[in-house]
Amino acid sequence: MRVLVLVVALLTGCRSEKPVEPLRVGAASDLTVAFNALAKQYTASTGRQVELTFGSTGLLAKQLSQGAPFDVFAAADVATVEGLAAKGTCVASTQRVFAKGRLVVWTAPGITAPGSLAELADERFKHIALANTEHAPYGRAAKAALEAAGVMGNIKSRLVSGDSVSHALQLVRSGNAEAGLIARSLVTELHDGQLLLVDDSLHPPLNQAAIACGTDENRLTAAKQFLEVLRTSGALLAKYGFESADPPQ
Amino acid sequence: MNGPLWLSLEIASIATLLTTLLALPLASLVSHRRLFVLDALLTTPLVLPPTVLGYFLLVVMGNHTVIGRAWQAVFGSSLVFTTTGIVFAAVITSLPLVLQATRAAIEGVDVTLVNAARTLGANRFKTYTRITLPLASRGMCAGIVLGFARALGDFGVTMMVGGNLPGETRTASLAIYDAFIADRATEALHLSLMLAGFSIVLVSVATLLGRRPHAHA
Repeated sequence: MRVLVLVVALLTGCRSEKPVEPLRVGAASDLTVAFNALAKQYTASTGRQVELTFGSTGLLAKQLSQGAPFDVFAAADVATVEGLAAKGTCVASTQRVFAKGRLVVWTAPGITAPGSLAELADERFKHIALANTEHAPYGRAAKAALEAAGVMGNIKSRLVSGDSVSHALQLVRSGNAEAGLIARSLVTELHDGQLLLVDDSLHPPLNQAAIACGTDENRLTAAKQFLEVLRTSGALLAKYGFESADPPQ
Repeated sequence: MNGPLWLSLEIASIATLLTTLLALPLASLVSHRRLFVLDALLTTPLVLPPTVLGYFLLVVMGNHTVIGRAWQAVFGSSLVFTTTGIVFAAVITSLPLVLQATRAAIEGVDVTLVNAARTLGANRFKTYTRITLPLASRGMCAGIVLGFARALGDFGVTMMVGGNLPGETRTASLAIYDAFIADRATEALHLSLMLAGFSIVLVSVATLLGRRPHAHA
């Protein structure tokens, strides 16, 4: 009898409350602050935890195409997401452009912000940090903006590159670079530097796109819920310096 | 395409030269005087994650810190975003390999030979350069080769503090990472094969040197 009770207890114990697996979200570095807030909202409304992984858009996409188990991928450019959808790594029908990021010049503590990109040529900016110009969208945008502003030739030797836009920001905040071309979304809550908003006609738009990935039905449903929360979070995204995305062409 | 590889070889060569020059006096120091704390301190980088060293270089020895400024005043170059910094990191991470090999090799020299030289009238210095060093050279070289291989392959520190500057801090391991992410598969493969080839040759040499010269199979 006692054995029976034990067996029943064990069986019911096993059946009850299988913990809900967390949703895995891989997101571009510029979404770090906003997505931490967004994940809290998602968890509050669905009860599911979110595991966030941040990195450069290019790095995350490469990891996804090599089988990284992200349920949601959010990139700082549209082309990368379209590429993953075309390859079948992610679910094309879930693809959505949800916001537009802005590029800013952010200065190290104690350094006065430049009045224009051209002023980056001033000698107080010994090192200027930016994200990787090959595989990070903000790095590419920064390069394009500096070239369009005609200042690239003067400051090329002073550019130092971080792996992602977060890494670039860290190089500035630690005082090793006097200024950096950073995502506005990463500095809205910081007070240790000064900001110059870069004219966004100088670089390709930093539209942010998200997509659900994977094949498991349950996880896919959860991923779509996350995308839905993202779609309705315009106010939260605006708070962190994002703007409405450009209309599709 | 081979620029980063040459830079890696240059960094590893300079670092190995410095490491070897440091290892000789340090090996005697840590083995003879039983300075175990110093020994442990100099050996720790062998097991330290490169990110820890990167963090220290960036935050403790960065451009705006007291140590960073002092370094710039003395050596005229900052540690962050420069080849100097990468060489400095390479010296720290490869020193344990060279130091421990040198120390073991020197301690392995037959004391009777050293004593014989001394009784025959050779002074300490002559005994060291003519008896101890030649006998210890095989073991030392094995350590030096391993140290070179270690210096050749750093990724973490270079990534964190280098700034990925072509010709300055964009080493082969960083170039492989960038090429891989940017889907330049041929370049990534080419550089990876070159580095792997170098490493296999270097470790083979070290293994060969590490064997006892007169041992028979």
